[in-house]
Amino acid sequence: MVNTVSREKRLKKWLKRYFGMSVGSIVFNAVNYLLFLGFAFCMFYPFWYVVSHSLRSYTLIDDVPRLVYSFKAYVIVFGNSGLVTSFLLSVGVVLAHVVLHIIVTMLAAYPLSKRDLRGRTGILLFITFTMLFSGGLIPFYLLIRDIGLRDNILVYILPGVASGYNVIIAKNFVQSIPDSLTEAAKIDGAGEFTTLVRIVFPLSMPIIATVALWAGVGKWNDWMTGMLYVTDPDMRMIQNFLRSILISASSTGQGGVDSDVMSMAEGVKMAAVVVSIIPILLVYPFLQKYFVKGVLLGSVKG
Amino acid sequence: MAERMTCRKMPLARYLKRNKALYLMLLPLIALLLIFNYYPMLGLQMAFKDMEYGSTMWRWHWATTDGSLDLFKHFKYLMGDKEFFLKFLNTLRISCLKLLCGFPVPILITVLLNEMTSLRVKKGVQIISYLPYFISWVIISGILISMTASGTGFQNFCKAIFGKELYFFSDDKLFIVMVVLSDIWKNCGWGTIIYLAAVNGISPELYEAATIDGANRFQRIWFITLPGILPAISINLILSLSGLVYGGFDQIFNMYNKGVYGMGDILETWIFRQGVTGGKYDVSTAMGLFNSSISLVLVLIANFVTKKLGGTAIW
Repeated sequence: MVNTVSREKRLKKWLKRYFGMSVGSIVFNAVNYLLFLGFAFCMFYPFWYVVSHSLRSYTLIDDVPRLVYSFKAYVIVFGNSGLVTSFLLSVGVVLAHVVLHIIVTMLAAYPLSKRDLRGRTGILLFITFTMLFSGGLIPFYLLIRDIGLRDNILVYILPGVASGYNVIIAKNFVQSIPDSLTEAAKIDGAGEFTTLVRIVFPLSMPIIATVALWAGVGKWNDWMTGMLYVTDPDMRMIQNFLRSILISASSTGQGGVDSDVMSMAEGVKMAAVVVSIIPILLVYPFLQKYFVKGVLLGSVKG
Repeated sequence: MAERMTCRKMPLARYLKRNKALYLMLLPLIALLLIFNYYPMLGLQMAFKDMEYGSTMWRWHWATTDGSLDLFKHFKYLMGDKEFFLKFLNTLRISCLKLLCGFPVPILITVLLNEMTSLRVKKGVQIISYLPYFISWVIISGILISMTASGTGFQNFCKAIFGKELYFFSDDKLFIVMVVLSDIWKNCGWGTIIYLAAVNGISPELYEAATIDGANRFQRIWFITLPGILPAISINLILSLSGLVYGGFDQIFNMYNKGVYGMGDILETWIFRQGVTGGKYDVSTAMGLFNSSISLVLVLIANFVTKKLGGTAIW
């Protein structure tokens, strides 16, 4: 009995010396590492699934389908005019939308950042109300139909260019730029517009990056617009193309996915998913940096 | 300062003329908001009118029953409609389950991440867990459908644990499980950002002092970390309560099918099918108005409460 107690003590002492912490801490850390290993696996598994399945294909060897890993699915995906067209269209739409979005947002943020602008409170209320209440799906649907934006490229670009939320966070940022800078420009004879372009714009790059990424990712992931207002298959955005091959059962196998070999279609679908995620991955480092900033900015009262 | 005082006293016409540029800058935003946000609000009159095919909503007549004016006819009809009640219940069930199961997850991750000793693991977990937030529901739903197909590794896993394959997209109870789980998967990493910022604001001296006083890991979590992020938690909770009438259209619409309408069909998807597919503009506008009115009231209450709590209100 005495012996076991002292052995336990010795073990504890030894652990403390080598790990620099108590037994409880060691167990806690071990469990914590295991939990995060499991968590990371759960978060990552779907991505791993997509990539690995996009590389799979079946080839007939001696009349028996065998699983092989190849880039065949990607060759088919890139040879598919539907995907390439929608991908390029999406890239173009996202760029146009982001540029317009930034212009409109910054143009509005600058005057609103001036506390002595007459009617400022009213205009801010006008903007805030759009963040709280909307006409809803059906009135918006009828509006798009009535102003003839259906099957028009502008339907992708224009709606959402004016975002109350982004204007407010941009306004808050511009407000934090010292007045002395803009006033100095004014003394040098710069007009409001010149001040905005020369002084405020370069100083607002962090918020511009945040807003641009926000708008860009939102547009890249937008599938509603294409589904509701566009019937022309040549004008599909990437998400609508994906929807048609991934979800709508009726159109599976359409769009040049010629699956003469069994289960090839599945690989092609997954390859299309991978291709559509690539742009997000490309901007992901920036996303991490600026999105976090944007979220925290947004939570600060204006 | 002196110049500003004179600005205030300046007659409006002269003030506008002098600051013409500023108002011109606001013009694009105001014009776009008027077209894409305020004009559709005028469309809400459809909720109080009777639909007439082949004419615009401006020509429709105010809703009537048996020849007498009855503006709230569509709302009354919805209140008595069993299907509407069912869809509303479905919406609440899904959004409450999402809140109940999904809300604690980012808090748990933040607390454990704060205890993680290895910085590299911490960064790695953050990088992986933010990523799903940027993937659209179209893609996630496509992956899930493919992943849970019969005979995949995932189904073998289910077989090993539950003894049978689980069909998440044909059984409506399992469908809800999948909706909630995938929602957590997509948003849990992202949800940690606001809490991690709060954790970073906690002074390290508190932890040091507690350690010296002999507090163990759990005590430090309970008495330092959790109180430190409590304001963020309460504000977040109140704000998410205001979203309870929305079940997540983007997600459900991409995941559901006729087989799971029983419990998986929410108000927003139903409005979509009634209005856009079915062409019943008046009733579906009324449904939408019902939903957005509740949400507006909830948001206003949430904002009022957060202000009272002394926290940062959203505006």
